[in-house]
Amino acid sequence: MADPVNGAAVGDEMEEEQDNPTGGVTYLCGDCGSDNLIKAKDPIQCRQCGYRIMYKKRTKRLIQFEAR
Amino acid sequence: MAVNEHRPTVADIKFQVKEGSSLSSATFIFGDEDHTLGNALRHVLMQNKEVDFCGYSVPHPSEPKMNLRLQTTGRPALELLKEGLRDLRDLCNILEERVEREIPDAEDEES
Amino acid sequence: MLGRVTKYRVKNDAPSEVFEAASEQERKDRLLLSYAERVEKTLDVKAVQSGGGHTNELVFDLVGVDASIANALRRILLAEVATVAIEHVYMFMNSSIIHDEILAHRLGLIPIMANPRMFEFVGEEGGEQDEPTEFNTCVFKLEVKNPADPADMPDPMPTGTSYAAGPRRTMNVFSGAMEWCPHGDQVERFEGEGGLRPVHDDILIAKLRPGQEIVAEMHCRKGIGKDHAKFSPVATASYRLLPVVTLKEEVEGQEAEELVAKCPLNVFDIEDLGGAGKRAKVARPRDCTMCRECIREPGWSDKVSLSRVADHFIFGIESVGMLPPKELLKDSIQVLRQKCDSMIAEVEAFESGVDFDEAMP
Repeated sequence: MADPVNGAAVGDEMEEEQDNPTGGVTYLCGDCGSDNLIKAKDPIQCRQCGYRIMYKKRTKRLIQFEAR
Repeated sequence: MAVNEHRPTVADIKFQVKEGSSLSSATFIFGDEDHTLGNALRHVLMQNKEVDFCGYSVPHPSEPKMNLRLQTTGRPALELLKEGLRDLRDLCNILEERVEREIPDAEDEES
Repeated sequence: MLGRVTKYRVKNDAPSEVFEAASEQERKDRLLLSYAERVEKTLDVKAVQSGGGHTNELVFDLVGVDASIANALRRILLAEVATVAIEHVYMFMNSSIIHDEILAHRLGLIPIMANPRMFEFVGEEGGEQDEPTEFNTCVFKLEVKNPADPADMPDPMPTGTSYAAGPRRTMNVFSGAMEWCPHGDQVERFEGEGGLRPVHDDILIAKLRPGQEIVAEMHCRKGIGKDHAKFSPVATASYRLLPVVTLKEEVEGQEAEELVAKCPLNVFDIEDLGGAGKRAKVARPRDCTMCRECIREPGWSDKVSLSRVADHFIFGIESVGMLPPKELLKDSIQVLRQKCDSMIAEVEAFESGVDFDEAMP
């Protein structure tokens, strides 16, 4: 992983968080499971079913574990 | 680096003579050893007629250390310790040869 | 006084020791022979059950050594004979209900059919040989998906997977789904052993609902049970002392029937004396567990005596499967000898006043 002190690491985070070029992050609805693109001042609510609990998507990055 | 990394504890000194030991009665500190070698070595040393007293202890289970106390009837304890280690090694050789001879090899695949 | 404990008697209340003074021969031996020569005289090893049972199981008699030696072997078998197991898991995708950490842990516990003698240890991190190479690491891949649309499921299903019972299309992922990814010359090196694979291919790793998938790469290395139980080459290794069951007086007729019925492990049999009735005899003393049931009722301890031979060990090894139990036993003896050898070297280095670590090239 890049050094968190230099800018590159922060840039990586940004890239992952803002997977949409227009800004905003895609979340999963806790009820119906559909994708929702939510921007900065949008209400936190599913567009399909109106459910208000949203889940963040899993990172696309590789994660290493010790099998212990 | 893994999220849940783990490192085992390793002793920095493998062999040491504890302060306060004299030539014929000494306490040895073994690094990275435990009851496995401690008790076996203790038993082998006690079979030696020049050994007056022999005992071992593992002072703390999370410290990779084993102490062995050895008191002799006169000869240097360090010499008898070496003899004990050689005796134990000889025992391993005999045991290995017997196992090789007496225990049949496993069949290739389970029947 | 010269002598030794030869038996442990088991009585109604508590066990007691039977001490026997050393014989004339033993006294002489102790004066004239070296320790090794004395061991050579008393030691006896013989297989009790091997091949007859499961090939992963070995029971043998170890006679004429002290408990400390038997215990050293047992401890080494459990904690210091090396095997190969999954150590690092690189998770690319895991949308299953099993969390990453738990999945990694489960994968680690899967026994890997890899001969540990064909592998080197990975060095300590930051030291020499801390890099994974084809000689110290092997790689497995797990790539399974339960398609959201049942029409996308290949027929037959991928190896190591199946649908769980019921109409819900939950997919079982078994260890058989792990695929070996040989590196370097590993294909040629492990050709004779039929490649690397899990010891069992029917271990359930995870369950997937439609739409879920797991993509992971697993790196295996060599290690010992002291570090983590997943490296332990045995399911168990244990010893017990040889039981001696004797009848102090003839037990006949009705009493013989009673005695046979008393024993939960069926140690006694009935001998038919033709016209003269029935007599109890000890048929299977090895099966005795010292439960004392046969001497519990008043009067019976005068008829039956229970004891164990102090230096006769019935040793049992149950291998996990990567090496046959005999090889494990030989390995454990080798580890004990290696301990002695390295300690002798340390003591000699100490004597000559040289720091051993610095003296090494």
